[in-house]
Amino acid sequence: MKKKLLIVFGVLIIGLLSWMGYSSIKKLDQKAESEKIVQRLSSFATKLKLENINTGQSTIFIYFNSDCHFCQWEMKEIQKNIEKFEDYQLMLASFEPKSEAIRFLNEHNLSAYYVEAHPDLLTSTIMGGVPQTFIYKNGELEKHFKGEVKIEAILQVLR
Amino acid sequence: MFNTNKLYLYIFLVLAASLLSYILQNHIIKENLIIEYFQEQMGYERILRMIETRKEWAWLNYLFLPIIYLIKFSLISFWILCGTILFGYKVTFKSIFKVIIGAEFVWLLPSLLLIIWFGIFDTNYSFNDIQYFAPLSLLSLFEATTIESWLIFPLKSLNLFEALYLLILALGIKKILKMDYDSALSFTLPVYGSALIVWILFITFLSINLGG
Repeated sequence: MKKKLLIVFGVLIIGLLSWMGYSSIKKLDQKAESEKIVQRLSSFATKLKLENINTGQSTIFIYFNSDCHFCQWEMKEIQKNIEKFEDYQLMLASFEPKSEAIRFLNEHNLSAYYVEAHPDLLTSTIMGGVPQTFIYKNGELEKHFKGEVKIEAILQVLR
Repeated sequence: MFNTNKLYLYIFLVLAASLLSYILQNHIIKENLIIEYFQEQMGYERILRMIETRKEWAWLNYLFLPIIYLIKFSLISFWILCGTILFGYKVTFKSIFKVIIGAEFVWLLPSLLLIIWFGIFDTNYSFNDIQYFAPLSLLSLFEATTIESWLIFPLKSLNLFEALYLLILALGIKKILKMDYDSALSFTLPVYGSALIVWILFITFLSINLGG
């Protein structure tokens, strides 16, 4: 009886491992695809179906969520230093509902920089959590920061 | 070691691991290393705040350590108990549990080695050096910063300490199953080896799917 139970347990473990293996391979493929897409602003914008993007202008794309306190800090810093971004294209995108994102950005006077993208497209193109900052120069990804990033570090990449 | 009282052994293990963790956190991972590591991306005040938060919550590590040990020992004991049933041996969960506690002392060696290495021999180290310090492991054959992050754990896990752990575990198994060492090793190798493979695959799965 015990041995039979063990065999069932063994089969369950093998089944679980197979599923984990399959999911991992799928996820790694997705990550590789995502890395390729974010390399160029044009492919990134096309994938996210973003409109009116100037792919030739130096761009800062920030992926955020209003609940995340690193994002809250980041937005506060951008608000304080907004004049330093005048020459650049600033884009702020979130996977939360538009109304939530706009309400949050309004608190920091940044709603003008909001870009709307479908949450599924965002989460399938940008791997990992928030915040993330993508910096493009001449349409090419120059630097990708994961987590909060100081303003000087962003500007240093753009100079 | 396998003859010592189980509770005393457990308490001694927790105290020893806590002491090593304390030395590591307070004397090896120095504040300037953390500042240096994060300063490219984060502001100085934000890093200091992060260090403060880390200090404030450090006690949680010590609080959870005995609980994590209990869970770990229970899982390995359960797996080995399944192995004994499969191979037709009779032994209690309690006796396996005690063997597992004894064998766990092997895992104090990598921390001890890290403290001795960076504390005495290589004192000019960076935060990255500590993160990827994995002597006698497959990871040490690669340049850790250049390989995919999800490969770090499996490569770090395949090391000679794991082999030493297996040999010591087999010693304990020999005692509780009352068999010769070769037979104990022939039992321990596939049973513990399979547990290790499942664990490595599980953690790798999590790092791929939850990591950025």
